[in-house]
Amino acid sequence: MANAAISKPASHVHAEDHHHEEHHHEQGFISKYIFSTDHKTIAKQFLITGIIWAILGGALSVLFRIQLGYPDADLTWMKPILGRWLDEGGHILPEFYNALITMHGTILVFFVLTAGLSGTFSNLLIPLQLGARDMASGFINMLSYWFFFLSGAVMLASFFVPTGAASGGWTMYPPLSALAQSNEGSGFGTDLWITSIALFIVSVLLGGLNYVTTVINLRTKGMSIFRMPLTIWAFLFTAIIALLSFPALLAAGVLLLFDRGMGTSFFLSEIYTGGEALANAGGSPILYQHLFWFLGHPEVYIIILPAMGIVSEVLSVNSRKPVFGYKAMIYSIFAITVLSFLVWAHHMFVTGLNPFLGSIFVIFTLLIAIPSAIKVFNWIVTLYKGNIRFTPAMLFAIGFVALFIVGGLTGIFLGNSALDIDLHDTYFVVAHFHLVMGVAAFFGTFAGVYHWFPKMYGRYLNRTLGYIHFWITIVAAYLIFFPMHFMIGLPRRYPSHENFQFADMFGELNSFISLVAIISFAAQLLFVFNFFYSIFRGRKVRELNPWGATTLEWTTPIHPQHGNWPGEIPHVHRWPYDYGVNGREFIPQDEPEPGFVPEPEPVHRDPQNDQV
Amino acid sequence: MTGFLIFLIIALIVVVMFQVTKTLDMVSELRADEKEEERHAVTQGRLMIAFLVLGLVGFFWTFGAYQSKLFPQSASVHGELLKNLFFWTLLITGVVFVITNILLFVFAYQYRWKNNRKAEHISHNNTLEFIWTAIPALVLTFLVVLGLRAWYQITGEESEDALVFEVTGQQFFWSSRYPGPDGVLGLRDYNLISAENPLGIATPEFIDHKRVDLLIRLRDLKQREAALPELIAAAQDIIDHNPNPYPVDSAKVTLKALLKEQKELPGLQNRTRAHYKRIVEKFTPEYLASAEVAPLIKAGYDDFMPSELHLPVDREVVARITALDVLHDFYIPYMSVKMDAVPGIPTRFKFTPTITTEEMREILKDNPEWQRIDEGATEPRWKNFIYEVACAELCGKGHNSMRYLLDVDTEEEYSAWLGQQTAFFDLQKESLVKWENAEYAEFEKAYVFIDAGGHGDDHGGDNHDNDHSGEEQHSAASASIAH
Repeated sequence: MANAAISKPASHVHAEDHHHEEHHHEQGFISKYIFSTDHKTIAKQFLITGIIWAILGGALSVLFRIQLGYPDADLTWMKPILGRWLDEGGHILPEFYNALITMHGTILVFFVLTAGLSGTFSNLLIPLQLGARDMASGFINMLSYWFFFLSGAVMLASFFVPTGAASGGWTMYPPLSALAQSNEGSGFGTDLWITSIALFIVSVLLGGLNYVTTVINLRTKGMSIFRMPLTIWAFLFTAIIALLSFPALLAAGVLLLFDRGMGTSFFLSEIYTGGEALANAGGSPILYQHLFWFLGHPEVYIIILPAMGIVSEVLSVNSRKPVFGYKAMIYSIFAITVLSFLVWAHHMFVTGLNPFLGSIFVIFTLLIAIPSAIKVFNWIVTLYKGNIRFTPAMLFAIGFVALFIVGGLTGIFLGNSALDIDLHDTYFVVAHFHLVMGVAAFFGTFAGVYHWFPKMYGRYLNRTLGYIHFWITIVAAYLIFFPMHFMIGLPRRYPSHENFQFADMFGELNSFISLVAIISFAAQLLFVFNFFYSIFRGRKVRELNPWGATTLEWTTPIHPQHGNWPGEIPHVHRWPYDYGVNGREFIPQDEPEPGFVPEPEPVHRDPQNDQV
Repeated sequence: MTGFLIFLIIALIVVVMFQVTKTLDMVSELRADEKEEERHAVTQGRLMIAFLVLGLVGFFWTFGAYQSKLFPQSASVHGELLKNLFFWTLLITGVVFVITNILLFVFAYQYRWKNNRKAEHISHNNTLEFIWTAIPALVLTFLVVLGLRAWYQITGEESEDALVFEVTGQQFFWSSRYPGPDGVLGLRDYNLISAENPLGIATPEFIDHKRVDLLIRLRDLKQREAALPELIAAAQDIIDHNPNPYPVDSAKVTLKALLKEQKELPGLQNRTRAHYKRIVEKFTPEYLASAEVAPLIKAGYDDFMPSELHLPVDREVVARITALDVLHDFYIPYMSVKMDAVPGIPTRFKFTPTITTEEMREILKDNPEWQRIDEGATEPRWKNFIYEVACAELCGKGHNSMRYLLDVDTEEEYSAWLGQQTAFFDLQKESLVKWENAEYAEFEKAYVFIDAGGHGDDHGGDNHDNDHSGEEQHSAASASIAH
């Protein structure tokens, strides 16, 4: 329905009416900024909501890092906020510590790095880079955001439940998460957690359907699939993974709700808790883990693929070179997509899994390292013999590659089931996934934000602050997570390690890590400041194509209105990486080959409508 | 006041930031010339190289600095395998790490922006791409082969004469059970768990004891239910007629608790009844006498439950790992033992300890980390070394306090220790209760097989529909167990 509204202006552009007021009806504030169906506005909504969640999720991590690094710190001054979650001495209670790590994981994985990243850049770039006036369904797109918003509201509410927010770990394994009597946070807080995640899944599915449909149907004339920028490829496969994997988590969540409230035994069997032998029989807690990780593992690719797409694009534009091995990059993404569904049980090597089954998952897991390695080599060679412009976006893209290397290599340790016996649920794992999909995905996001901020707001982010942001963040990322590899045997999710002789030798290191974490969090606030400052006061963009990029988003006006192009949608004549050819620095995708004769067009038409 | 000050400071910081950023923007606007990009390239390029060099130095330095904190030596046979695997993986990934990082940052520096430089159009190179697909594939195959060999060795067949013991996790401690002289662990059932039988060992005596336990509990619940209205009325009376506010407040709290209890009692009774029925339905005389079960029942009498684990050195042992309430994970850091404990699904892990506790102390003596003297202690840490068992799967607020001890003994020490153990059943038999048949029948009639239609709460009371038809049969069956 949005298409119908948008295609009208396109039909009267031949009147040479190149003004921006093709909006035949004035939009009010609410329909323009709140319940908007414009993909660009929705992208900004996702981004800003994601930033807010990132601040909250990061603040939670600062709290539990204080507990780990400075266990004697007196937090009584935070009593007004934390209330009964502090003991008399002002220390964080273990129940609350568990809630902190649970919510930190949930918020960062789902709200920030899934919705904040995919939601922002898929929405912003798919129509702009493909030459579409909007998403296939603007209305469903809007619903996608508002389901996300609702999901966040429910999650936020769970902090204010008397028994506290969910605290069973972001994986929410039953029986701990199923039995309110076994864990304070498994009370109403967990019901809200499941509800919130269910709403979130609806949001992801609505968004994903839209992304896939748009990529398939709404490419402008000439935009064959092998002329799509790698960003689009990444978003497309991300959406496909999301569509296929999130429903499994929804199923797990619904069954968990049944087990919690209706006396079913999907995940429960032979349990004695709270002085009572429960009636549940025949269920399996391991079944939940299979369902969870059937989403959970593809989820890390849902997070990292968009970052990879963004990085490929940013590296190429700022090296003034085509991305090396464009097709290899696409096939790698495809291979990762397929394999991402065949590795989930590597999270379950020590659950008593059948050893043969385990070995199959080892093979697939290490197999997935190959396409990942190809991507890394290709990124590195993209820099080779380039002319590299160190914009903050470029720095973050290079940083992404570095972090992905170190985090990816430790994945080779963990993917080997035998070694996983030693490493499972220790700080080695914490270091691994934070580097490879946590910080790396953040770097991808930052690269994207610094790069496309001019397109979003018509202004630049401040460059100096961007440099400071980058250097503090990358140094901090290594200082925080690299030493954690050496805490090999240290169990994670312990509020303190002093009960164990083998584990209480990392006090100083933990204090150091916590200190750096706090500095790093402050540096992120610097970015947040830069972001909001620059929306209103940043240096204005004066040229259409400030980075000299080839892709279509830079052919739109500096402030594109709903519908993106005031006139006809540009046609595409070449692939997106024509840098340094024919003696020219770059050739935009919409520039015809020399001697190109346009087909005679019988009627004025909108390419978008032709293809629908 | 503090709140206001904090607010003021934050506001000040934001204002300063605002001004600084504004200035920065203005300066960069003024200085924007064609040299701008080159200037940035020089600074950022140098930073890249500095980062690379310092990073690599740090990378190698950490290995040295944390040497003493890594596990000194694996104390199990398969642990040594894993050390070997870890070493090869570290070597390979380490080389890749160093090379790729050098290439990445050196390229970034080398090809930093120069106004007169032209980037070369290099779109792909099939040979090169084939090479860096093939090399990782080969290396990973090597690691997979090495890894799976270890994996199958670890998860392979248990040897016939392996010593089997059992560990059970619950919030928030471990307990263990050894099979006793017969070498076989007795039958367990979670329905039979009581204060006297914390793991639910199934012998007829424990079964009878649990039945009595439940019947008395049912009687108490019934009596409590009958007494509640009066207590509620009394509390209500205080609230309605007492002018003094303090007792009124406390009475309100009491009243709330009483009403909650009244609401929950029927459900609790239903669940307890269902629990009782599960026991009498499962442990019929035929079941107890059946060929599979009878030997396991018999095996339970000599099982013993020590307060810490003892294992003989250089002998294959198998841990049977169970959990009562939520997931736990049986983790012995020094021995590379880690296996989830799953309620309802026992798991197993076989391993062979190779270093006794004493020997390990000698090894740790030279480690600076273990020469430290802890606060409040008089001896260095290594003197008090003992193998520790921890929980490695989040299990609630006491997750980090599930410490259990493991002493690895020489064969002689182990035999001596075994000699000191008393069967758990023998320890408990004095405190077990057994009733006459008539008593069971009377209580069952009064509290278990009553007309159960009236209570609305269906939690756990899922056998409602069968109650009537099964009544006669249950009584008969249960009466006959009790002989």
